[in-house]
Amino acid sequence: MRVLSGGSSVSAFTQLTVPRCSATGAPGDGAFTGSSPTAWRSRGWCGPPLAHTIPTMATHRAPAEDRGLAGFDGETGRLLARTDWAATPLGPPAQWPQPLRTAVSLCMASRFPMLIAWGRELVQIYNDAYIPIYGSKHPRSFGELFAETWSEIYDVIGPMAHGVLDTGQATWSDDALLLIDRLGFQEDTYFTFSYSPIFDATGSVGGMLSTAIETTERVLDARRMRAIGDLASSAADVRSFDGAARAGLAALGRHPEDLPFALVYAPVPGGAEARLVAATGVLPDGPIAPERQDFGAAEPWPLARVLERREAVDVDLAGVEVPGAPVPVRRARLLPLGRADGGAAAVLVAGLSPRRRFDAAYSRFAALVADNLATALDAGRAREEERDRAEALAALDAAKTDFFANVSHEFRTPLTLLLAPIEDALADEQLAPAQRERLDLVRRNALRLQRLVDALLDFSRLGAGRLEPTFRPTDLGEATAEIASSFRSAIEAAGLRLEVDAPALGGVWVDRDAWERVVLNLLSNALKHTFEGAISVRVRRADGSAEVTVADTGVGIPPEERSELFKRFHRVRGARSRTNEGAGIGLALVAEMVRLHRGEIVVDSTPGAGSAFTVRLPLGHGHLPADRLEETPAAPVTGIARAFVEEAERWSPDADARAAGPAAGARLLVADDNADVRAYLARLLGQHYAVEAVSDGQAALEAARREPPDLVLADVMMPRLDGFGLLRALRTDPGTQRVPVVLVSARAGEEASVEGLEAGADDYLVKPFSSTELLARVRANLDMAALREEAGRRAERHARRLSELADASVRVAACRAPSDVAAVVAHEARAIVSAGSVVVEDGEASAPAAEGEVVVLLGAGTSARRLRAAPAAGAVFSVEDEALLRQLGLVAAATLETAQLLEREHQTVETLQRSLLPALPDGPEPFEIAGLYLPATAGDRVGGDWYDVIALPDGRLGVVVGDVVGHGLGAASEMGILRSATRAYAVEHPGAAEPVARLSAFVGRFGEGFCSTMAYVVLDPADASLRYAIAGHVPLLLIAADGTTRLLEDPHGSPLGVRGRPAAEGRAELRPGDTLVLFTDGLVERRGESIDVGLDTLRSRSFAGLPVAALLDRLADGQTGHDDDVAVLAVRAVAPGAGQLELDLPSEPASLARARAALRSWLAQIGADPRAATDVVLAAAEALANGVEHAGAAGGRLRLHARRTADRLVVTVQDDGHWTEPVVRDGRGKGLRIMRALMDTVSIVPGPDGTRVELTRRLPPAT
Amino acid sequence: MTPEVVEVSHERGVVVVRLRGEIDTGTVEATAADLGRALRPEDSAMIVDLAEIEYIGSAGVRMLHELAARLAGEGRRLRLVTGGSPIATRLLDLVAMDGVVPVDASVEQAAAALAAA
Repeated sequence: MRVLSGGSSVSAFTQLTVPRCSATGAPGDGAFTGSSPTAWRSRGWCGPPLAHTIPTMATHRAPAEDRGLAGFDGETGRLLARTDWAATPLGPPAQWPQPLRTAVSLCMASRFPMLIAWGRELVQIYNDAYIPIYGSKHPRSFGELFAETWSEIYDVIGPMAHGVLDTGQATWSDDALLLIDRLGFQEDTYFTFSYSPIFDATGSVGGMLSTAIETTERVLDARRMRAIGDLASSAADVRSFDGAARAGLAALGRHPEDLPFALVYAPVPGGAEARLVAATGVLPDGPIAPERQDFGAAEPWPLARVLERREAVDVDLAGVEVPGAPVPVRRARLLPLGRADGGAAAVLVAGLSPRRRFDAAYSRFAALVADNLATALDAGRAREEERDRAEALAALDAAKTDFFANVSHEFRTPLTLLLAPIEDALADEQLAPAQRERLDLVRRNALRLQRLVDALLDFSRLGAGRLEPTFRPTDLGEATAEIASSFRSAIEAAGLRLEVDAPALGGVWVDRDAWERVVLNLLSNALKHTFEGAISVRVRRADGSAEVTVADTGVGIPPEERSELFKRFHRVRGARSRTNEGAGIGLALVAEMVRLHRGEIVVDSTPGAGSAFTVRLPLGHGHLPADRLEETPAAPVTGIARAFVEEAERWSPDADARAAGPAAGARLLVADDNADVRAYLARLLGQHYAVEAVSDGQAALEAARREPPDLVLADVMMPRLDGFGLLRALRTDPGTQRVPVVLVSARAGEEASVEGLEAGADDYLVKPFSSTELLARVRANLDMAALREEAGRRAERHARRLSELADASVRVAACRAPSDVAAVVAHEARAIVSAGSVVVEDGEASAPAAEGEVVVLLGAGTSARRLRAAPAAGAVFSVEDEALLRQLGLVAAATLETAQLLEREHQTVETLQRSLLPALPDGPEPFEIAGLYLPATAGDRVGGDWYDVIALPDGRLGVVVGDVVGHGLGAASEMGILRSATRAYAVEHPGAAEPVARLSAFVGRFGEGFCSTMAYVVLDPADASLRYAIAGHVPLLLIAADGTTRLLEDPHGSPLGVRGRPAAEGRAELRPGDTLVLFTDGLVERRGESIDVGLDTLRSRSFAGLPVAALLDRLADGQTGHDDDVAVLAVRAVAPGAGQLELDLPSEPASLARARAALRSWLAQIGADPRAATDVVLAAAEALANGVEHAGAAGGRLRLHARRTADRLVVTVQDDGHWTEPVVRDGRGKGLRIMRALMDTVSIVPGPDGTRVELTRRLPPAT
Repeated sequence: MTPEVVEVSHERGVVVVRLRGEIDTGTVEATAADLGRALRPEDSAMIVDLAEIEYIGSAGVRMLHELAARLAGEGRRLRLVTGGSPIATRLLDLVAMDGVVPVDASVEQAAAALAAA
């Protein structure tokens, strides 16, 4: 193969192929003019028949003696003979012009698809290779008019054909899309074809020659790969299941020629219906794309069947009009999407192109689409779930923050109101006992409020069904009054009255604790919303129930809020309140507690006038669970006493350790200029954290820079550097910018806290605060910081892995050979997910994914390779690992597909190329010939180098080597044409220059093979003459018997078809023992090296004494890994008789020594390898001895024939006796064993006239 | 070429017979007779030197087998020498002759082996 300099081969071709045809083109220069058919029949093909003994090579079609229209093989050959041509515009064959006859001969003899369309009417004659292009049009099309056969595409090809007829200029179309109706429907097909003029005897265009290669499969492959590639890249950034489906179908929508329409349906939760997730090619909600479809229904789509059986189902359609598609779609394939383990399940409805047969390749494509889409959907759903989780987490976090804030406030209210005066009062040692008693009461109230928080805990326990009430018979009047009285001082302090009307009411079974909460909460709620007037508590018996009403004269509740009132966390909006604090759980808790007693609660309210909450509890215990009843009345321990006990529990280290939770052990930096506060905070926080306390902001900053703490708690007002200054300094230092800062201030009011938060504080506490609130805030902030930290780390890690994935993808995508893809993807996958093992398996033997393994299909179908990754021992793959593996798998699948495509193309061209090379005659004389073809190792550069051996009249031999511009199928096709033409001219002309000149003219006219080079040699054993002609080709190498070399390079003509210097004839001699080597430039051309260097290197090798085959090997030394293909042909002249030995001796013992002697001397003469010679003598002697031993009648003969071929010695011994069955006894019968041990093949053929033994021994390759 | 016995020598009860030429179906009987004649009653061993042999085939192998069997029956030993004869070396190797009769590279080695035994 050769590439013209100064541009790509294709552009060079299109630029240069226009033949220089003109009226001056003398008929004698024409390709198909000149001698009459009889002349070349009589002179051609009558040399010794070529032996075709290499079975792997196709034999040539033997030229028939009579090459009229009857002499051609194959189906078209018979059609040619049978057709009534007289009925066509061509008329009877006898009247056909010579150029047509010649063209037909060439066409019929070619194994390339060739078509001749002759005359203005373009009557078609084509060869067997062209039949598939006609499809069902054949055989009607044979002899038919071009316009009739190709009516459906005549608008495209008609003008092209007539252009050729009118202008004589060849045309060329690469991968042209043609809609051909050859299978009963209009089919998308692609062809690379050329139309070249055929000139008639007058020099005008008589018809055209079309060579065509159908490239449909290759183009479709590439086209589909682009669609898959688009689909795969559409999955790169999907954020949801639906998004993935829409992006995927949008990508497919750009390839309507592959899938005219596509739909994705997914079952909706519940499974009764399926919804249309995405659609392309058809309008959603049309008859075949309903937005909703009964999942189990068969129409329009049998979705349930596809998903449940996980099988592909084809549906025939009445003919769906697809906008933009000229033909209705008649079939759709349904494919399950999503993994069998119940991942993202959906169904792909793929409309199939009415212009393509739904063959295996199309089906594979559909499966590949489904596979890619499924992966994208999985990824989309995974992203969705990830996001849902993140959102849920955020919501939870927000709720938690709210909760902490509210809890803090719940603490803060009673503590602010009560604890400060208590501390003051208790500090007074002069306190009178009565006062102390009152203070106890106050303290109890504080503790009761504390229990509101407990209520919260209970509430959650209640929700979880873990609260276990104990119902005891209770005097509800007494109990309620007692509880209410504990609230009295608080109510009266607020300027309100408390009116209690609670007569004794026995026989009510209540959980004392729960009831206490009910009453307290109702009173607390009343107090919150009442600013003047009274709060009343009333207990009554009514209709078998006990009725307790807590009424107030407060703001009242708007009617629309009443139904929401008892819902958890509901707070009446805009309601005037003593405080905005409150968890919004009090009333909900009341409702829960009442429900626990199987009672009911109702609210009656008049906005602006007040509200009344009434609780009704059934009397007795019949409505309560028996196992929760306790006959003994509640211990006379009052709630007040218990509150003390419980308060003690609250403040126990255990309880606080629970509050500190997982953030325990963190380092806190506390800054406050007040020594008492500092000591207090250090003591309080020191129970859970390591605390460093400093006295001002500057000291805190220094400490934080020295060793960043986990949290800074700082007072706002401090000398040297205040809290805000400290905050700003910490935030500007990268080492401390992420440390959470909680500011503490005595300044109350919203403005202060906003100021603090705007300055970048994480939290803001206003003094005074409770210890529990402080602990809760500190812990919440530590938790948040830890969460932020973790989120940051995860984001960073995620980003790093994505970049690793990108790098790995690039490395995988760079692979060209399928085996490389497998190796590289396995390696990269191992590195990215730190897997224990990653292997790429062939699909056939693949096991399903084992527990913990991830298996990614690399391609479609059951034979697709799989990437199987197993986690390292003791580890598991994360969702992210799996996503990365799948992503990498996508890239690998696409790359693999491309690599396989390249490899297939390489193989195709190579096979084609090899099939075009001739089988070589196996000598031994007068010429011993060996050929070698080395395809390029790189992907797409095979093809175009060729050689040929042509038996010529009178025992002469024609030898050709050539090199066509370009590579691939096009080059191989041109090479086939050149070869056929060369054969014809070689037989016609005795010299070397004329055939080359003819060929050059042929190329000039037809364009095929333009600028190709060749060398043609005619060898005549009669006078040892060598005549050669070189057209732009590299020199020939002549190796004399003694090993000296010489280059034949002058005269040198221009390449074929190029007007310039015509190839003149050079002369030399090829004496017995001399070897002529013809080769292509690939043998001597190296990148960046002059060709002379290559030639000198070649000539510097030692060739003396080498058999031809060995010589060839030596020439090709160092040809591994070449990026161009190489053809080499070596021809050695062998003296008559030197190549073989013939003996005919009487069958008697005395002949044995004579035969051995003759054989030994012949072997020495041909320079056979000494070891091989010894073996051949030993084996032949055994055969001879046996012939004598088993000789028939006296006077019999013993015949020995020995010859050497290119790579072996062949010895035949023929006797006239019978070879008896060998008997192995005392050494008898050893003869056969010896022969078998020594020879490569031994065949004993008994016949009626004697036995023939044939022995062959391979000669050793060159060393 | 008719095989011929080039030289027969006797030393300390060992007869050394040096052969030349070709041994095939037609000549094997003469060779066998020559070898038989070279052997004296007092010889305890025989060395057949094939180093100058130009051809020996399966007939020769049969003859050597028979000779070995006969000598063994008489309590005498036999050693073969192939020396530089490619054809003898190749053939005796091929039929694994050294499994039946010891084969040496030279007469000296064969004699030394006999003396050592």
